[in-house]
Amino acid sequence: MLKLLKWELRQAGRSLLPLAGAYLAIACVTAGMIALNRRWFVLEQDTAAASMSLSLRTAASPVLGAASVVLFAALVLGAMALTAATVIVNVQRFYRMLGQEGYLAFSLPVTAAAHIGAKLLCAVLCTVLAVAAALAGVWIILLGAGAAFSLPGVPADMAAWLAAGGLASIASGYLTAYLACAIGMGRGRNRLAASLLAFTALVVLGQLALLGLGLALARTGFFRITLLPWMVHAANGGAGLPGWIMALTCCVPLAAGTVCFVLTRWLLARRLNLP
Amino acid sequence: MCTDCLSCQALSKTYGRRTALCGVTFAVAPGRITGLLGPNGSGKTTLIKLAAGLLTPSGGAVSVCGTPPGPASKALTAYLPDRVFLPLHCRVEDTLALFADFFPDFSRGKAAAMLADLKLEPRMKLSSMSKGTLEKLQLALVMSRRARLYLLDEPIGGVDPAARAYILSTIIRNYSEDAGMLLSTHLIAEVENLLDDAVFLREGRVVSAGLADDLRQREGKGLDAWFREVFAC
Repeated sequence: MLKLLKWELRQAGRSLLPLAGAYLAIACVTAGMIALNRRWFVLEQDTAAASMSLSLRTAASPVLGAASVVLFAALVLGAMALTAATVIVNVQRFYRMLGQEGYLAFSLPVTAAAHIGAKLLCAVLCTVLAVAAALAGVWIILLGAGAAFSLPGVPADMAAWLAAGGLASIASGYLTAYLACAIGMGRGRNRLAASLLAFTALVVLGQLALLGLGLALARTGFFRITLLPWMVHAANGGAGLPGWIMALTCCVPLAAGTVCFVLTRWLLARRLNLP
Repeated sequence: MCTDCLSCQALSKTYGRRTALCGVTFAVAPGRITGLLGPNGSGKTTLIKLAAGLLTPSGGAVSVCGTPPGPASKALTAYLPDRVFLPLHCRVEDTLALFADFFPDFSRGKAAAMLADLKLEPRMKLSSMSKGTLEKLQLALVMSRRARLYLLDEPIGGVDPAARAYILSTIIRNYSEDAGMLLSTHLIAEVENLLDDAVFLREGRVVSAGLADDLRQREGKGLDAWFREVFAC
């Protein structure tokens, strides 16, 4: 498993590191532009009359100002592209393993569970790093603008639950995509279409299951009797939501992910058909 | 010591309504080179993929040293597919590391010697190699294992006659004496002298199987001549 993970990280890094590097480089250049602009303004302010208007000052560096705006827009798009590319690359790598790349992968003496596990760990790690890089880009920009960057204050236990829920949701999302790829496997030229169709069906099924769970909880009075008073209490400066309610946000994606993992493992171990 | 390196019992494979293999039964004994012979589309690749665990049988059973396809059987099997299966963005040294990481029976020394023969430097990128060179690299990696079963799918299919001679001599020089080998090809004349046994396939069914010498004696001609006669269009 660790050997597989090492190979997975090397392969994923080959595609994603240049992308993240380019994004952070744009962030640095943008921050530099903004910082330069600020310096120029300050110098002008020092020498000019105190009553100088804002419009006059911004007109002092129109080229740098325009370039900063363009680079900032590129950075925002870059942050979204980086996250999207990370997800696409990781799903595509699993999809390709069930095609031509499977001739090597499935000739290795490794279980189907290890293949899925290594791909999943690598994908989740890459996604977390991509989000961290996107946030780092924002931080660099704010640093250039001289503004402070701080995350909203959340109690430590709640932050831990939110992080765990986020990780579980990312993993569950990938496992759903993996299951869709495995369902589409062996459909010849229609493999991609079959995988996309399967993914859509799985997402709809998941939403329906979630809706059913919500309705079932509502019938027990969970939202009205249990959740609402806690939320009001928390909003009024009381303690945060109890751990068992926060744990639910992890349990739902974990349960969905486990079902997808078991089904994908079965398909790969018992129904493998490489084209 | 296992009895048969590869055993197929009434093995069948269908793709939708098309039957690729139907009731194939044969075995590869240790120390024997078995030729899987037949025209294009006769089911040779399907059979080898079933043995390698890349396909799931529709019927019957296949086992490697008594083990059904899975991680245990793959540890015993050295499989060379009929296509380039190494990642092209890798370097030669990466592929050596990959095989050394996953196959305990892989000999780095043996591989290094074969790569030196082929004048392949460890830092060379696979993407800069010709298809023929890539096939030789793959063969060198596969034959550097001390496996119990070698599955070679069309190892001389797409290469020039000089490369064929190199590939065949590499196979003979490097395969372990106690291992079994299943070698598929439709270029029978090239491999005829290597074969201990032969299995002829046509449209997914076994037409003839047995000792190569017995077949020659029975038909009064070589395997290639017999193949040309039986499989004439």
